[in-house]
Amino acid sequence: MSALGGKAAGGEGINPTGTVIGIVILLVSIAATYALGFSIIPLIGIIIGGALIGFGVHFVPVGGAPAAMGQAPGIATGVAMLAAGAGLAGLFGGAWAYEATGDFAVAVAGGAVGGGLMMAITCLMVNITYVFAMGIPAASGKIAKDPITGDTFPEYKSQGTEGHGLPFISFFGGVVGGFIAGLGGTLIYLELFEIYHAGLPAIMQADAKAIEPLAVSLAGIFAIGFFLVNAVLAAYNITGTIEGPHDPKFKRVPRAIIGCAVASAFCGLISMLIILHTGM
Amino acid sequence: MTAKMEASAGAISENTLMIYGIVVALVGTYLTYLNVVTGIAVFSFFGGIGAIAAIWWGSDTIKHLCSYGLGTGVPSAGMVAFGAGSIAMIAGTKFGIASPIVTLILAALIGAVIGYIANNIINMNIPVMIFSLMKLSIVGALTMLGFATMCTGTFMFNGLVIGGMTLSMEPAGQAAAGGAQTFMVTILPEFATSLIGGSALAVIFFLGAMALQHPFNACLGPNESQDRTLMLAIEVGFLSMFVVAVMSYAFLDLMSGTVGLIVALLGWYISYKKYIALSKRDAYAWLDAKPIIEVGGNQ
Repeated sequence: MSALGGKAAGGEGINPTGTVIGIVILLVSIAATYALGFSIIPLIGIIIGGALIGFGVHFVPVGGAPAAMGQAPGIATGVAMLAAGAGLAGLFGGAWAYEATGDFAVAVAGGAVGGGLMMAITCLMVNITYVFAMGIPAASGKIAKDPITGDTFPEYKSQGTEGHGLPFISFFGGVVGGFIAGLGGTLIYLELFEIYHAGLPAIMQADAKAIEPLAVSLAGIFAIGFFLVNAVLAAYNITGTIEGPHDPKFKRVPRAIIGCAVASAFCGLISMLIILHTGM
Repeated sequence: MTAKMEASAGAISENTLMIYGIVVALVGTYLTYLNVVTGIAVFSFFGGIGAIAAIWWGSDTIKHLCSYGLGTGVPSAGMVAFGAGSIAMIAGTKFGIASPIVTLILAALIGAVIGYIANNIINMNIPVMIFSLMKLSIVGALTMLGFATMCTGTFMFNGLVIGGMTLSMEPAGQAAAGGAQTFMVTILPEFATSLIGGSALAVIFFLGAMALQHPFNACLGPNESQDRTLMLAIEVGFLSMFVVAVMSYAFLDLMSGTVGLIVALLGWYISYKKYIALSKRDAYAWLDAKPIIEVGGNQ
């Protein structure tokens, strides 16, 4: 939902020229990383993480301002805010899990569960507010029947609205979206942490143990930056509101995956400049 | 829902704003180099002035971008600006004395790539998209660099990552006589107490992002006027600068932190008064709130 009430100009379908140039940017970023003498495995991890964030954000039911008035289904805030909330909750969970266990798989799973849990709590509280405070039932306007529970919606949908509340499919989408976005955010954090953990002691001429807080902070701040860039790109792709995986807008998801992958590749290249020997 | 909101045609053109914004932000950041020349850190507050100039210019850029109806609200533009800006800023500080310039170039590069993705891969088809996101990335990077410089007194990577937290380093001096513990105290906190190592940069990130996204978000509407929006940007910028000045007590000496604090408070007071005056000018009527009159007796 635009704060200005303007209609977004985003068209449907994939722009072939733009996509090809985007993939060229991605490949050039990988080549430049290799040419500068860095390992390209972490960059691939960052690209996958970015694409996962772009994919996950599309599952989250975002209602915007109409949802706050009970005129559209979803959570009553913007895509960027919700995605940042879910992703950062996952990122912190994953970072903590990595520090506690040191195990890559456990940390990534921890991040995914953290993001999913945050969205589950948000969706539950949103539905409690809708049902018990605003007095509206959950009904989607885009489909007639919930694909999972089989509940029908038209009887409950108020006239003149696009639906309201948070039906089960949207709740499910929110949890899945938080899970995937948290997973992607944690993956980016872990890859960046690996890069800095290995590269910073050499460039700062310091003990690896002493440099660890710096590696954690740098990776964390960069991961937040990456996450916001990817989440906003996905938000631009959604152009406002989406009900969840059953929404027709969900078909736009390939564009966001390509876009987020390209953005992550380029930003990943820039973030590696930190451990480049500049001689200054 | 289909009406396109026109950005108010202001007295100052977009390009003039951009030139002033970039020049003041760069000059402000470079003026903090006087710290190194003179050996005292009182010139750090110039970084905050530079950051405010960047925010001032950025709030006008946001206005032009968001008048196209992105569908995601105004704050998302501030978030992408600082997401891209933080990456450019941290990478840019590696380049010594050239850091502010390199930060600007890196931010422009990242902004161009993100703008191209949004416009051509995600098919936004907004004419000003690429240029606007370039400008916003520069704004984000220069704001973060300015505030970080104000906080630590330097814009170079080593100054930002090697701890200078005077308050927390005092116990380290007392414990210097101790045995094995000395190693823990003097070596480990060296990085953990710095601006980036202690993640204080994350606070600057959101202070800047809020200052950038708030002015147009608060002033938009049919009655939006450029001077009022820009004055609000300065006011919110000084408010963020105040918090940064408080943070700078941890990294700088008492005198330098206080200078920053006084400049921020003074700037905030003046800009707030001006903003209220402009709001009164633009308002249809201005009614001062009064307490509800108690009606006595049987009325």
